[in-house]
Amino acid sequence: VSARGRIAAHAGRAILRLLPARRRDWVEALWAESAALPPGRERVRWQAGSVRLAAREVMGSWRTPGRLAFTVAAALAAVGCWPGSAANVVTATVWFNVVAVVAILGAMGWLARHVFGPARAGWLPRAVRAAFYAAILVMLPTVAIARRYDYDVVDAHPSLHRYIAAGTTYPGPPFILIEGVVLFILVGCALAVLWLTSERSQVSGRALALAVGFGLMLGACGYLSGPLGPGNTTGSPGNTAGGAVNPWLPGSWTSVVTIADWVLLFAGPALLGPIAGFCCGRRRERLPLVNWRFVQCLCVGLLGSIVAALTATVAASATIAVALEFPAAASYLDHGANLTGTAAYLWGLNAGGSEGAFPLIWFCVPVVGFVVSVVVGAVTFGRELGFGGESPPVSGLPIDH
Amino acid sequence: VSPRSEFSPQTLSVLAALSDRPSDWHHGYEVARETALKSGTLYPILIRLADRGLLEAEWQDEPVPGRPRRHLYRLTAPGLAAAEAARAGALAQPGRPRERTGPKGSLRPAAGNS
Repeated sequence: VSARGRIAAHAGRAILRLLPARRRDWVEALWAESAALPPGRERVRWQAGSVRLAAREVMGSWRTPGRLAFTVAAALAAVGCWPGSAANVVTATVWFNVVAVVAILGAMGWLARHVFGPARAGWLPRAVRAAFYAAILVMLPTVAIARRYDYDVVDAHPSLHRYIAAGTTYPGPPFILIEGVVLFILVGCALAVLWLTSERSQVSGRALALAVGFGLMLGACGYLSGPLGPGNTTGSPGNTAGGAVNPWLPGSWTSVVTIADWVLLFAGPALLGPIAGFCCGRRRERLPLVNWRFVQCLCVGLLGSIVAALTATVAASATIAVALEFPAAASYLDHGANLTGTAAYLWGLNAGGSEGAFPLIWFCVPVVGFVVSVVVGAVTFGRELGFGGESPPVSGLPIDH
Repeated sequence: VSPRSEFSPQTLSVLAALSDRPSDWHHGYEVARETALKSGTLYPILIRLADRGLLEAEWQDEPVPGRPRRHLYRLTAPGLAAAEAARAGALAQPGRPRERTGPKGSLRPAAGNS
């Protein structure tokens, strides 16, 4: 067998592995049948049919395109993270991060299928899952860029060691600890997203849509209040407390956006959770009515806040990465003014350092959403759940629509 | 929901080819020649028919030396009945346009047959 033949055979076997087991026989059958055809154009056409059949069967199954898309996206994220000097301490951490995060996401997908069951029917649950995976993979290279920048600056200017150490991204011993915490939060968020979008959670489509809409709105406000990261202090000479800053907005508007942030963070789950519990159509009768309402309430608070945290941090980290990778963008990003060399240098340093606050957002926002929705759900549906010591009066009643 | 009224013309031609000698096993190439379908069209039809239990498939027991084993096909009893019914339906309503019941080449189960 020629080398080309062996390569073709290996490629064919690799493609066959992508197919569901019950379909492999058919593609093999089609290919085997080609041996009965006269050599030449007719046989080649017949064999081309086996390629079309394999592609059709591969694309006909949702899981395989999903796996392919995840593999490609993970590879792109790794390529974005991989460059970096071996002398840079951050490089090893970034590599560890890529491997760990990709492994966790892959394992979570497998676990979700076996524990939570398939994704809920419809485009929205699948879109939420895909967007969650995409957001995490986008954050890998963008955060890596900020970290690497900070270390390179410190390495070139040892006098900045103390300054950076006071910030959040100095790659000292606690760095691994921070990575562990971040990975722990990632696992928690992934479990929540995969469960709430699964068939088993019984979350209604409307509750899911409400959660996503609320999350996107809160996330957009979060990004608007600090597009260069929540800890960034450039662009606002008076702001030394590390509060929210938007270099594009006048101070008064920044205050409005910041207030909207806080209001939405608490009032969103508190108001929308019960609305979802009362108004969203019920899909099945596997859970008692009140428990089911509680789940809808929880979905809005927890999933909405995870979507918000993701939206804000992914957009901000991408903005920071763009600013650091393309220095010309820094002047535009900071009031549109032409920065002096020193100002641009400090600006980049601050923006790079801001990514250290993202894990805090990742942890705090979902926890607030979860706690508020649980408390509000217990208060709203507590009596029926039995928290008040009375038996549930409405379980088993006709469902709402 | 209206029941399936017709198979696609391509599927009908496959059913016709296979029902000519229903007890014989047929090769894919042979069916392709009889129906003038390309392999990329024929095999998805065979797959859907097999998924619905209208077609049985098995690998050749005694391969020709120097050639890989071939896959063989023939209609099951329900497949033969479906072919007869489809043929009778097509003859009874010659002017009726074909009603699409699913994606190209697919065979949706008839009502109550799922």
